[in-house]
Amino acid sequence: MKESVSSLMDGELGRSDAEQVLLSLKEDDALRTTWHEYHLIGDALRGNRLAALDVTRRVSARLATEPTVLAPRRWLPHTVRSHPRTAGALALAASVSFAAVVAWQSLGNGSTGAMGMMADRAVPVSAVHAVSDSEDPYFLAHQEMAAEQDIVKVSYGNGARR
Amino acid sequence: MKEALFVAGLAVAGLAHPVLASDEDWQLLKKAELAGGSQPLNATYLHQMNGVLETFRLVRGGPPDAIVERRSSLDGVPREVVRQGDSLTCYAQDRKALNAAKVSAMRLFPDVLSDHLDDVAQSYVIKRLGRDRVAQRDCNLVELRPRDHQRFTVRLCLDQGTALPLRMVTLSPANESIEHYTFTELELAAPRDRQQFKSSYKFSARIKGSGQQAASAPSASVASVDVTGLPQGFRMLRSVQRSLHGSDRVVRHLVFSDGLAMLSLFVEPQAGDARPDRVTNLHGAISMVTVVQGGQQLTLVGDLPEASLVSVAKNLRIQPRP
Repeated sequence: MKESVSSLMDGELGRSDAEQVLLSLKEDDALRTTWHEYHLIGDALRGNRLAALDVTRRVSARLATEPTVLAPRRWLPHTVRSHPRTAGALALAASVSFAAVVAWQSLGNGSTGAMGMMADRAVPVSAVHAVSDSEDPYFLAHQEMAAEQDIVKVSYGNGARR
Repeated sequence: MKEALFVAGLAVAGLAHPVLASDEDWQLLKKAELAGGSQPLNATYLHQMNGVLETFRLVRGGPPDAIVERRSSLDGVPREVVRQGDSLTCYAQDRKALNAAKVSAMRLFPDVLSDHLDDVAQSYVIKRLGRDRVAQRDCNLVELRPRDHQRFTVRLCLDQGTALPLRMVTLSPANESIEHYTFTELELAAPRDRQQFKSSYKFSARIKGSGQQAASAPSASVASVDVTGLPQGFRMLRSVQRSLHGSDRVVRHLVFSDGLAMLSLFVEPQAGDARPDRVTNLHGAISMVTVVQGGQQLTLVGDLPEASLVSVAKNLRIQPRP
């Protein structure tokens, strides 16, 4: 069993084996002592001098006496709370729009002068440029026509009319 | 009586003044349109949209009837768009990058204004917003705000001397910036070295040129449809029967413009694998929506706000012309 503990520490065990060893650790005091000793040996080998300080019991005791904090989480609407993925998406959108704002400011646009050109609000933007979208056949067809109109205009503009 | 005349005169003067001012503004815009397409330059500009920021180098020269122009990307996939007179060619290192080059040819900043400014005046109100400075040059801020709330607002900063657009910002109806072009370095003269107008990449695709025009020229038989339900001010520029990239399906492609925004409508028989009925943002200000109506699949692509695109798609009526 001690070998299994060692393997667990080295991260060599599979999920089910690891669970097995963790269960044994919970039940077997001797095995827990082995766990601490192995960590101590490892720390000593790595030269971590504070490793000899055993604070586990005292920290556990303090934790047991700590009152449980029942913090209300009212800042999110119910629908978001019940859908962690939505919350994740919100967080992503928030961080992306923050990145957009940072990029905006780093361009020197946020300060003086150009206020008339500025948008009133920052826009949440996607961080990844979807290449596949630009290969949409409808988009490419639209693009061809748009470019064509542009050039038709230019050729008229530079020809007889002027 | 004299007093009445005086008051009437004042009223007329008061009414006439904004009209004259606006006329002047449209004249300025006309000048901007010409400069945007033909002003010789040697410049670098930024393009920002969808959280993507790209830099392009742009050189332009030649006489007005034979403009030579090369724009090359400085970031991302290496790609170039070269204009020679009325032909436009994309260059890249490989086929995939070539598509990206075609996308970059979507808007050829600073050539962003339409020739049809009368059309623009029908749908947009012009307004001066003051002065600014872009790429070390003083410029006048001009805003084109749609008369309805279905289109994007465009703000331009026009060079004080030449009226060349130095900056262009596209704003949503909620005044959010959707797309942004701005020069960072600008010299109003063509580079002397002619080599700068030549591309160094081996793959190329002609987007517009003498060979292409014949292939997509409108024919009378396919133009025989009536489309109603578009926002006011949009008129049909072209109607062609064509196949799409990577498919044999033939669709009818109609192109509309209000002078500023360009809208493509694709009409085809409803396919088995109908696209989901939703709107997608494709590139900067350009979005796409697909709806099914009376056994026909309608796809709208263009630079309209997403909500407007959906409502336009729902209101469209397509009738074969008798």
